[in-house]
Amino acid sequence: MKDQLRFKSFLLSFLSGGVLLLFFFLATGSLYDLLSLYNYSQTTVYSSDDGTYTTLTASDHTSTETNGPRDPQGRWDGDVTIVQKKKTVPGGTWVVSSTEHVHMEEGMRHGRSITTYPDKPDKEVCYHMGHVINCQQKATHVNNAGTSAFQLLSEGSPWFMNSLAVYGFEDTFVEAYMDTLELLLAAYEFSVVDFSSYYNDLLDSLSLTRYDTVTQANAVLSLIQGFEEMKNAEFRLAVLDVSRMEGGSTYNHMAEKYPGYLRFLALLDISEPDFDEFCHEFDSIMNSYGPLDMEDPFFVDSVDNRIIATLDVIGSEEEESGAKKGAIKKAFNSYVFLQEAVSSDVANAVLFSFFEYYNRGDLIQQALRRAYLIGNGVTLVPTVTTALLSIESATSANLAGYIVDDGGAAVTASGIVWGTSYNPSLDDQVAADGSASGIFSVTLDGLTGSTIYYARTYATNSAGTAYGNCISFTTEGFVIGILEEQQQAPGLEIYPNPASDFLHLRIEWTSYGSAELSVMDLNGRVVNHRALIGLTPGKEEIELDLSHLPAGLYHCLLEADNQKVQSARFMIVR
Amino acid sequence: MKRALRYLLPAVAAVALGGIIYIFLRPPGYAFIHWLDASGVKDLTNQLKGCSLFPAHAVPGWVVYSLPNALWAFSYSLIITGIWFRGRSGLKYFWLASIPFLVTGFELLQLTGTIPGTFCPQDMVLGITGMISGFLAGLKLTNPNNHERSTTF
Repeated sequence: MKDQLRFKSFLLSFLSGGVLLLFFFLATGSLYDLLSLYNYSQTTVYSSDDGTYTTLTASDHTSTETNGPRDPQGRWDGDVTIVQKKKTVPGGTWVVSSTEHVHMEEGMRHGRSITTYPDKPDKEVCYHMGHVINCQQKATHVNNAGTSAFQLLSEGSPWFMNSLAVYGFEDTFVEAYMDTLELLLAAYEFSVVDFSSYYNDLLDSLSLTRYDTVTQANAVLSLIQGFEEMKNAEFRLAVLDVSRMEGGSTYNHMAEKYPGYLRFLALLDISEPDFDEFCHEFDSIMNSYGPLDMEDPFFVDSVDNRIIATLDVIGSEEEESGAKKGAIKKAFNSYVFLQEAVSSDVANAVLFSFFEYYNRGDLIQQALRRAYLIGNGVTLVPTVTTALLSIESATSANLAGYIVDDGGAAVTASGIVWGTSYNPSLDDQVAADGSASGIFSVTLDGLTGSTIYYARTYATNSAGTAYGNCISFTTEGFVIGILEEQQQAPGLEIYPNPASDFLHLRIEWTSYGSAELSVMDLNGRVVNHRALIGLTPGKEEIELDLSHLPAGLYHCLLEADNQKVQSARFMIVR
Repeated sequence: MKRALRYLLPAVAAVALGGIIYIFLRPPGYAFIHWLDASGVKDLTNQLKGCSLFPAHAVPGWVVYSLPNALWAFSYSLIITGIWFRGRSGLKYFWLASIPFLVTGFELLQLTGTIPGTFCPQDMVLGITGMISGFLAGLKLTNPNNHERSTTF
């Protein structure tokens, strides 16, 4: 009898164990993704074999692997492959969700993109500096009236749909989510300036509903994309330039190359002396971290880390003084907060300028805002892009402008604005021979040789004038150092440019000593290096053999003992 | 067997109701739904989602996020009570004790920071309510005075 009782107890325990496992499975099933889906890490590795970088952004269930070359500013630049993977079962194997092959320039998709999927036909999309265009480069959106936010998102950023899909959000679900956002947004009184606040309210109202996971996934994707967008922030670009020099001043460089940034700060009531003082402190802290190796493939990443750390230090000082409590740390969490926080505080203003770029990473918000404005009958300024076609000679260059979208009103003027400062405007040189829609090319004549120029497309409609992305190019011939202030540095003249098999460098030494000459490709890899010793004041000519190098753009760097650095860009053509 | 069905049927119904809430009201991105997809019923769950009559954002959050766990706590508590409460084996104390451990364990471990996640009092309250309801229902449904006599072990 006892044995029978034991046997029954064993059987029932076995049964209960099964029930326990089942309920454990259910309970963890409801928790598992909440615990880990939206925790992600990002790592980047460099391959010295082909000079490419691979960035892996992964959570427990999703991963995005981006492989390709980067430009000197750390942006994707060249032929890039993006592989999205997911795990359908926790602990399972990775399954490829999509693979995209695309050419990128300055971090933007530019050219034909082919995406392959394991379970549906390939998708081909053409981009022009980040914007989707018709592959025949003929059509342009004339009017978006009646277009939903989802349509704007899925047609304008089809790659983003792949990113959402890897999280398990199919297009139909994202459409329902965005339709709901639009529906709820319609209940608010129309206001352009309050849109950001409305958007945050909408996200709050949808928390703890079936849409909160897509909100969370978008927050992660916005963060990742936002940091990519921030790579174009003027302040960062200036600090990167200065980091490549020895003893450069961020303020001087900003004033020289980015005067538009000072005008932007003036709008925020930041005076130039205040900004100068801030930059002085910023430079001091940056320098205190010690020298950086420019040949290190992670040079740009190191500078980025230092920028964030330095702004954090300055922000913490201000926090301690009670000036803007926690503004910097909170800034990355709340756009609205930062908008309210900006006053005369320089560090916050600089962060605000970063955040202007960061906020572009929230593509759902961008699409919703655009649909909101269009739906309320607001005419938008056109959307335009700029790309460099070719440098014809020392005095001539060809550029392409593209009117992606006319904003809902006829374009009355368009063309290219150019100058020697970043983000030129109609106040600078203007080549006003653009078209009313689609792509057009403009030849800039009368350029000065050996000069770095900046250019961007502009287009005007009844809502105003819009500018596209700013590109830079260097005309053929002698290229001066990065800063005019480097008067004491040795002079470096290179020719011919473009070069073929040989490059001649004419260097004017101002003192005795030694120097090192390095040629780097766009990936930052040193492809030629020469030690120059026993130098005496005067001119010296050096010939570099380039016959083993592939065609492309290169960076020539001269480091002399006790003297500042000189650099030049040149092109090899085959 | 007939006695077992008395508590098994409501237990299965509670599990099913929790699953329905998941399928209809929970967004993609949850493991439970991944598992359904992996089990080959993805198209079916997508169709079911498409048939949902509820405007998802209008359903209270506690229904979507806390009720399924409460229903599963009810179900587990009911089954374990049904199996063991009238038993004579000493193992029944182990299994009955497993009910509060399982139901409150995840939340308490989150509260102590042992596992990642945010402690949610609402989940805890509903989970305990489900557990007590399941226990009481188990007592009631297996009470030999209310039903035909059953053998004990």
